[in-house]
Amino acid sequence: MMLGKADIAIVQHVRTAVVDLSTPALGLVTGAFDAAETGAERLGDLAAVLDENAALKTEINAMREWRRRAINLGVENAELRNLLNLRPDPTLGFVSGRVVADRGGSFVRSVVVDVGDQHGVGEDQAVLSPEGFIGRTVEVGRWSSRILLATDLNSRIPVQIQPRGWRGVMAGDNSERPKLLYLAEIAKFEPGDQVVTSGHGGVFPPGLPVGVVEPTPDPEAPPRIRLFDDHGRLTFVRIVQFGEAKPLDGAPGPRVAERGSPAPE
Amino acid sequence: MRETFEQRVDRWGRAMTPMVIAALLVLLATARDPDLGVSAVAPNMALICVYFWSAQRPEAMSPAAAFALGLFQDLLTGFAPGVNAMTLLLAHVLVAGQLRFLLSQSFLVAWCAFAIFAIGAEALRGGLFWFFADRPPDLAEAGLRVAVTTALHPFFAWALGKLDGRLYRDEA
Repeated sequence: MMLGKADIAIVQHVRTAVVDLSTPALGLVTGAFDAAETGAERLGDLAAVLDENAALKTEINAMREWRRRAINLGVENAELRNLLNLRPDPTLGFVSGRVVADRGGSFVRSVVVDVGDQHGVGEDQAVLSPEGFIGRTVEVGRWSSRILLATDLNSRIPVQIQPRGWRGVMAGDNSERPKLLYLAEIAKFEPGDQVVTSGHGGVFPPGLPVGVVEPTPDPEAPPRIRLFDDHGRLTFVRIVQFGEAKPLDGAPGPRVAERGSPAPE
Repeated sequence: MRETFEQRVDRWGRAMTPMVIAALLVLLATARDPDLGVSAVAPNMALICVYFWSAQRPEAMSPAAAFALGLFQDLLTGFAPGVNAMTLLLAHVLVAGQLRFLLSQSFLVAWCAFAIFAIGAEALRGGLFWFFADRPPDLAEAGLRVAVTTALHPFFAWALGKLDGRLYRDEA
């Protein structure tokens, strides 16, 4: 324990090597668990297949409409940026990984995924579940990475409360609801206001969905955040590569007008 | 008579098997659990193995082996290195010290003794974490882990006993 405190780098290297070597075995075990889980799910799904089919068709139609709107907005955004001569924000690339280990319990809130620097993962990259932000990479090996969850007491994430933009730091404390610290004294917000990453410091991209502000019974206590992903069951995650601009999947590249030429139709 | 190479490999393999089994069980307990609605709390497989082998086959679970197993568990789960290592080392020392008592008792008494060890191990782990992280552990989850570990102990003790019988059959 003393060695771990005295020289973090050595401990991290050793830990990363041990996790790297263990990841294939963990992947096999997790695969077996996933197969059992899939079998159980299929038995349950058989009973509800017709209703679910109808609901999914409705959802697909709605998503097609949203996709069309997103593409139009993307084109309009590019045109407006060009007009303002703005330097484009770096857009996001993703590396998807499967969670193979997550048993720190209430002591350590971290998970291990089966992607590492061979797959393009780096340290201090934001990690998302389908619901939203869940943590960041802290140790990256060749084939595995450890993700420190936002609820861990060592986690500190710069965030912003929408819509007014008040900035603060989301601090985990090993509970299910991280605290919101270092808000300005004049900050005004309501329970239910959305919290996103602020991008302060340039480590994480801004605008990643994190959660919503929860009311606290004690007005002197710092407010807490209910994370969008708070059910604790992570299967697949996406690690955000914050840097080079990459086009969105399935979306045509925006048509950018030259300065002084007519705007595209 | 000098030991042949095959005899040496055989002896080495038998000596390593308990540690390998224990490490695999720790891996199993660390893997992501299936979302089948069962408890998300994993049993302390390392403690079950250290308790069994320290009592049944002390030469197969030395203090260094117990420490190494705990360190492996620390590195895999993200604990500060040494928390589980110290816990398992202490468990091994206490079991070794009470060996005569434990081996002379019925299974039910040995099981109750294991429950006490499980409570002590969880308390030590939580206390060390509290000391270094300045945050108390979740008592409900700790209690659940002790209960799950104690409940599963008879099954794994039976399985490890069968394995022990096969490994060391020639010595009987």
